[in-house]
Amino acid sequence: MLWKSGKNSGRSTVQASDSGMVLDANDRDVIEACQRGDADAFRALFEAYKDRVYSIALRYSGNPAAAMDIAQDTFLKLLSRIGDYRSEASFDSWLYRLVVNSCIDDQRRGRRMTPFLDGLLDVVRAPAESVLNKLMRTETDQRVQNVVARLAPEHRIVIVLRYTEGLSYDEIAKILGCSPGTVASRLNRAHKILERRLSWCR
Amino acid sequence: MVPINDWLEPELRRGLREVAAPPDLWNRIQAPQAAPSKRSNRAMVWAMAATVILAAVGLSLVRPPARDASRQMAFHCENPAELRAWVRANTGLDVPLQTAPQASIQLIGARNLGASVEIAYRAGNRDAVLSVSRADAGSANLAHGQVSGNESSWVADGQRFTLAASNAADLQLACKLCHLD
Repeated sequence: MLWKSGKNSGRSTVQASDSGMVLDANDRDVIEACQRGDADAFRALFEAYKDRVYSIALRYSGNPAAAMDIAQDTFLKLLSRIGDYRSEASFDSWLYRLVVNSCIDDQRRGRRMTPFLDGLLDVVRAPAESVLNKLMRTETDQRVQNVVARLAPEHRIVIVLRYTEGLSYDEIAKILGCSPGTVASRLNRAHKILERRLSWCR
Repeated sequence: MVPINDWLEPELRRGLREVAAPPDLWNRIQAPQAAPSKRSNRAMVWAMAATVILAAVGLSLVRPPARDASRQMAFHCENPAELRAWVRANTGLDVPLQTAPQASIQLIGARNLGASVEIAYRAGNRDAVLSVSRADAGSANLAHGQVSGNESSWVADGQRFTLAASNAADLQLACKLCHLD
């Protein structure tokens, strides 16, 4: 069976091309096919989740090279552990846990740079008349990413899951294996830090 | 829900928005790993890991370890003493950063470009970069001189310094990275 990725109402889906049926990525058939070793099903899952996995990795690490390492690690873990997945649990949450663990593993392997300097000289050294415009256009997003990348890991991951993925407190709590109250506390602390460091955005 | 200022959440949503994965991510996954089989995938992963480790050990015997530029070439740090030590250890250059700069100076980090090092920081609320390299042999000290609208260059103690600020008016404040007055 050949599986293809697709989009449906903004949600990632996978599609069984020979039947034309569009399935939710949590659909048991696709996952079971992947568990049986169906390479096309794995490709379909990859296509459905690659942007989410990469985005979490990028926003957490602040480094495209690190994000590629983390995303690769996550999908290799998915491939090797898909047999452990039990359908009574949410596949999204299960995969998010793999990503989070890969992010933490990467962090433990050593401190990385964030690409905080990339483009900075170009902006600073641009002709005077364009400096302000360029700074205004790029600086805010870059500073947000840089400031988030400097948060403590426990604060950073809740911010990324909350604002990159739009997850609820309960969903974040399930992924991190803590209580919603702990998530709220970490978010509150992270917000205060970010508010202070990004106050110039106002 | 945790109360939060109105401006912060939109900034976070925009700054941390989801992005598309690079097209070569699939190739990265394919390269070390064949398609899943009905055999134990975990065993296969361990076997591949062992192969990779053995190959790496073999390679390390015949050539120096490769260095990942993104991991070795830059240092994200807000502490002047730590940053100065990192620059000295990685480039041999000595940048006399103020150990306790005024609050308007906020270090971001440094990048080793081989022939030079760039120190990025915020002066006031704007970006500034100090680039330092070895001066040509026999170069005399050259007082701070403005060479373009938002750059200033000089030579001191055998090192060439170039300071770039977001605009010319910020240069004086940007000097506080190394100077008290």
